[in-house]
Amino acid sequence: MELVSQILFGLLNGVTWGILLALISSGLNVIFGLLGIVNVAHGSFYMVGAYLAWLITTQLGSFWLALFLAPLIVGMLGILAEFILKPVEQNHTLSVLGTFGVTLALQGSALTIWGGAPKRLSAPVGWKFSLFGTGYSYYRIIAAAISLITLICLWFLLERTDVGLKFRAVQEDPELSVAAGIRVPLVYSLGFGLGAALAGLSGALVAPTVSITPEMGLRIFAIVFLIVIAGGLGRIWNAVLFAIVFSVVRGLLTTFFNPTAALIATFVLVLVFLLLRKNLPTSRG
Amino acid sequence: MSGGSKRYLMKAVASSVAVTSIGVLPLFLGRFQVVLLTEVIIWGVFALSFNLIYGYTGMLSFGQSMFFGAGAYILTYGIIWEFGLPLSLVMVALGGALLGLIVGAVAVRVRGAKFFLVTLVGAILFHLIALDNRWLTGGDDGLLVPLQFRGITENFYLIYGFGLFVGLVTFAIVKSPVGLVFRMIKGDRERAELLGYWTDGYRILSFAIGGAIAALAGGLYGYTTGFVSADFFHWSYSADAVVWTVLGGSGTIAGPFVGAALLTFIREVLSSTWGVVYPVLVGLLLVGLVLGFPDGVVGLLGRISSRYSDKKGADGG
Amino acid sequence: MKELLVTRGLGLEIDRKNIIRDVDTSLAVGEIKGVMGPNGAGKSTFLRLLAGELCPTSGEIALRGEDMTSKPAREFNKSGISYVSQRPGPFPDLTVEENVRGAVQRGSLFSRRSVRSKVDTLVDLIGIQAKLGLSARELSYGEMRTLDVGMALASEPVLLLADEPTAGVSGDVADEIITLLKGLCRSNDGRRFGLDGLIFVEHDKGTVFHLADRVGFLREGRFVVEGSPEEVRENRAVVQYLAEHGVD
Ligand SMILES: Nc1ncnc2c1ncn2[C@@H]1O[C@H](COP(=O)(O)OP(=O)(O)OP(=O)(O)O)[C@@H](O)[C@H]1O
Ligand SMILES: [Mg+2]
Repeated sequence: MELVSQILFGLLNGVTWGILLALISSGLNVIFGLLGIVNVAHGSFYMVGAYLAWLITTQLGSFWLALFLAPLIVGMLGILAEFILKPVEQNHTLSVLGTFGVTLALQGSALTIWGGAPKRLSAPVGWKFSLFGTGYSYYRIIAAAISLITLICLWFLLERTDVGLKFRAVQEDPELSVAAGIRVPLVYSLGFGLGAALAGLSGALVAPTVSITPEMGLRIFAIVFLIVIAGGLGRIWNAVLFAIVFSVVRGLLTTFFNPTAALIATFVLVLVFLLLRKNLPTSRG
Repeated sequence: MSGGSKRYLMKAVASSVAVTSIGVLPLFLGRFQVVLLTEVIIWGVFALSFNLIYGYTGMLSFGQSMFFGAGAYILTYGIIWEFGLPLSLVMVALGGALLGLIVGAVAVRVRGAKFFLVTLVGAILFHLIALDNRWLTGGDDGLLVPLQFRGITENFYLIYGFGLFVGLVTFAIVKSPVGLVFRMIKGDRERAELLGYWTDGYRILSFAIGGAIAALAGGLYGYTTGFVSADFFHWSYSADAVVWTVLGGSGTIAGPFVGAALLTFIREVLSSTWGVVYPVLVGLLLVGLVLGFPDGVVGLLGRISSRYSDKKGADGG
Repeated sequence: MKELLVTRGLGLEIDRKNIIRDVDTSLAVGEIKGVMGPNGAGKSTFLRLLAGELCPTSGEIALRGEDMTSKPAREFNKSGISYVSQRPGPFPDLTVEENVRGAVQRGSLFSRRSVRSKVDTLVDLIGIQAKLGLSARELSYGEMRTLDVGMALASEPVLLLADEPTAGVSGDVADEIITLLKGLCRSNDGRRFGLDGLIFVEHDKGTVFHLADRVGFLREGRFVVEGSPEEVRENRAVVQYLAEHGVD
């Protein structure tokens, strides 16, 4: 009975956290999956979102205001970063290096301003319900619900309006897009901004459930990048599925091993999956 | 032809002068600066290992911290088990090369951005594994390297000789037929494959050599500081190697050393009061380099000097 | 007549689009084949399949009776197939000498002398002595194409595939390249870099009918007609195509 409840608990936790993870990865899916820009700074945008949530909540007193402002500010930050790195965004190597520079700068700024000690934000919804004898915070459910709604809106935007079409078009054939009257640089700016805003929103949503540190960005970046690639570039629901699988596996493993070992095992599993998947079918060598 | 060989001679003279002057520098420096200079050489060797993989073979790897940490621990256990320094260093190099073979064989299976991801995940994994296995690594608290007392100058010349050796070996490799294949792969991997080369094999080889050099740097760093910990596996070491190389000039032997020296100098100038802004500065510097000077300081100097000599040639003719 | 290269049912499908469909063709020893056809017909794709750069989704390729279909790209080169792609291919950051040496050295990586002598022979053959020290990006377009042909010959292939080697090249240099290719096939008297076969893609009908023993007209991924230059010239589809696009 003890074990069963632990497993159920791990499952629930895995699903709620998985949906949040899916939201983080959706931003990268827009930037990398659709626009084809490798953005290492995505994790840092998420980190900034979390810090903004903490700052706004403690200074202005409203977490819900933070949830509204953080994506806006981070989105603008994203547009600025994209504007600066525009000349190299088509070159994978240079854009990895450039966005990595942005990562170091953002992470360093956070460290300079707020120091390395973790910040904590209490949940805006205090209640917990009892689950198998353990208290489970309503906030996690709410956060997952908000994520899910955002994901549905994003899906609608990308699949049911011509926005997604434009994103795909500029990456696949920039010249034809120009000919078709699409303002390519603007699409890149807005797409990048949208992706960054999603990172900011997810950072803010996650803020009350984690400890906020400057370093929280890069590790989440690795996880999210894995999820986006494993799910197939540009496929939002696949990424959602993989995010949930990832965190459920991790959650279940945590009931048997210590958290570090569970994370190691999850990483290894995803890595193996990624390596076993075939590369492009038609190109050799 | 004669212009080319003249430039070659100039390069040779300039490098000999630079290497010799670094060799006599400790005679004029205080103890603290000598320690710093020693570290710069180790960092230069470390960045050189990344440069072989990135600057010469064209693979943007974020995995150098794996080899750095592994090398540090192999050396530590070599000393603990009383194998002596020379044998321990041989073990470090072999261990690094073996690890490079394994990591390389996994990483070259994927292409493009995925390659970067796989090496990044590898770096994170190794750090987590090192943290999780305290019995082996001592975790955060680390291990002491049981060393006899050595003078600071003595240690400097050990590292100096070593750096020179690694630099020359790397030079020989990149100038060899194998080095030419590395550079072809950097230019266009598929074309090199169509010319009949097993490019994945060469890429793995590049990883193995780079792994051996990075492991040696890690070993020597542990040997210099007398202490190793799981943090030697932290990805920030990979990041340092990337930044030093790009700043100094990728695809050159001197570049990584120049980059490591410059950034160490900047960090010391900032000192403790301004130390906190150092990472911000490094990040912005990287963005600036990528946008304006992708071939770094050495590349810039090369361009300036060749423009200068071209102009002189044109005036004379 | 002995066959050098044979394809059977060769096909390539990408994203449900058949780019090459069911191509059966062959090349006899000593033969020169010209491939022509409208833009987007699949000429380059056909050559890339033969060069091993792309892997067919159906059918097979055999060189001298040996099945090549499932081999990696490098094995095509090792078995004697060389390829000049449509886009200029020298490594831009390497010098001309390094480009040639890189192409030459594969079979004898560490025998410096044999590499040296092969480089010299090849450099003489394509006449690029004066530019050896330049980096390839500094070459003119025609010189790049000449270097491409030279690099393709470096592995002493039996079969050369050339995709529009003279397109965009000025008249004189184009003639030199054509003369070079022709000479390599016609006087195969045991000379270094002699060829047993050549397949080339070309838009210019003068070149095609002048150089080729056999001509294939490719449209929408299949050969509409294949035969001697005279036969092909008579074909209705070709006549119509040449009337619309043929430049002489
Ligand atoms: N990797 C690919 N993915 C999808 N379609 C492709 C790919 N490569 C080629 N095609 C399509 O296959 C068709 C044939 O292309 P190919 O380059 O072989 O034509 P071509 O005959 O060489 O034309 P040209 O005379 O312009 O060189 C074109 O319609 C092209 O769009
Ligand atoms: Mg073509």
